[in-house]
Amino acid sequence: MEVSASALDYLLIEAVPVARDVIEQLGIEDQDEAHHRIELYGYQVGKGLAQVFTRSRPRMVQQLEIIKFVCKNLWEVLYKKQMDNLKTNHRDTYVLVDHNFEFCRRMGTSLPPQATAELAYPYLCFPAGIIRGFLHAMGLSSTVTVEAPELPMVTFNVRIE
Amino acid sequence: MSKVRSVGEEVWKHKTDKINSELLTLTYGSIVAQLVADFDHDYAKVNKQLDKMGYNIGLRLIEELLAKTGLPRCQNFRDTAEAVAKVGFKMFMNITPTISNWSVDSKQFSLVFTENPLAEFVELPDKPNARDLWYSNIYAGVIRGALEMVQLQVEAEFVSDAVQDPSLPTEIRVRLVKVLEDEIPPGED
Amino acid sequence: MIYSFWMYDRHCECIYSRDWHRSAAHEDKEDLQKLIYGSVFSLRNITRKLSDDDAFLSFQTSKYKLHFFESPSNLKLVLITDPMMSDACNALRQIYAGLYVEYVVKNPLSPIEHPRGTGVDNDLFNMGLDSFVRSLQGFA
Repeated sequence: MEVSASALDYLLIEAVPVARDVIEQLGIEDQDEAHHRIELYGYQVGKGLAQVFTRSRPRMVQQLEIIKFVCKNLWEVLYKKQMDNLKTNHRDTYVLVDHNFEFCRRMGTSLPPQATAELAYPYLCFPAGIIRGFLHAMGLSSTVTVEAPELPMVTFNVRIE
Repeated sequence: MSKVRSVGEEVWKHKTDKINSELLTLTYGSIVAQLVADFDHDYAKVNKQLDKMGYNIGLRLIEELLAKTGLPRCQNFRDTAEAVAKVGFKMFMNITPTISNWSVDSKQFSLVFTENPLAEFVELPDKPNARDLWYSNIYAGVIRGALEMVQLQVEAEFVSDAVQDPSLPTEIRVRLVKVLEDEIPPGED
Repeated sequence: MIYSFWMYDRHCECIYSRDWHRSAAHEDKEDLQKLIYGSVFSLRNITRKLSDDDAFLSFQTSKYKLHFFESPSNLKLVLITDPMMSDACNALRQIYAGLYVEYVVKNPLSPIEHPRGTGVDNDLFNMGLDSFVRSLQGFA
């Protein structure tokens, strides 16, 4: 079944204020706790998507194969395009770069890039969580960090544990 | 087909980017689950948070609805119900709840849903008071926020939810509290 | 020639203004935005009193034309041009739908309430508006 992309857009706009509001109600001051929750929303989505995807596919086992699947298939479903760049040290580290991250295409501000990136960061925790959740469901434990010194270019750093 | 229904269909067909509903279901589900955990199964708090979330969404979403449809302000509350069901829910959620149970004074109506993308395959937590959770309570907030922006103060509440009891329909009761006055600039009274 | 663009929110506050081809006479922006709002507000009320479901589109003097669009959510958009400019309500509608909704309403980093003093202020909206207005026939 289909719904409008807007429905998800609005849900994600409010995901950050909700996380902040909740930690405030719980008496928590550390904003990282809000970021953690947003990342967890993404994590659950990534896990769920992995189940959807792997239903009718042969199992992927290779690390690189799985990461490439994230860059191509997963990103295509989520953001209607593939990741633009993938670098790896061929051991345990991957750098995924989206030059024009669709999720950020409306994130205009009146501030310089660094300050904008700081405002955008909580929102970017969501796709970072999606990647981590997807990888975990595919058998790969990882940490995923995200940086965006200049929107709309966003970089996801994945380290497999 | 009524004019309002065809507006909704038109916008859904030609002016809407679409996504697989699973993306929405999964995202919403993860938010609700986290709220339940954070509020330690205090479902009254979860319901309230979902309503607040929906209210903030409604304040925004109405502008997109108005911009894409070009609909003017509704002349009466019956027209408003039509717009909510056949345009609002259609263009954003691709569903068209039925309008029913009008009160005699035409200030209250029910929206009855036969399908709900937010709650597909959802099961309530296995807790004795889980039936206190209005899983899709975000809808109540969205309706309230959106209508406030067109000067209608309403209350919206779930009456029953198929997630809680599949033998019942999912029903939201909407009540007009009052029509709000347009604000006037200082010195113009 | 397009002179300026103004946006007022449901609280009667000016939340955006932008000018091109600025005339030296309009030095005090604060006063001007209030004056514009006042005339728009009055004309809108007169129009409504004369006929329930009508809306005023524009008025003109020998020196300028004021074009007006109001959304059902009480957002008001105003374009001020030379008197020869044809009806710009459609352009205002497009600004509402294509720019305000895109870069303010659907922008996670933009608030939708603009309390006194703050206003819509973001690079994507600014650039989009500038680009769009410059593309309109009769701009220069």
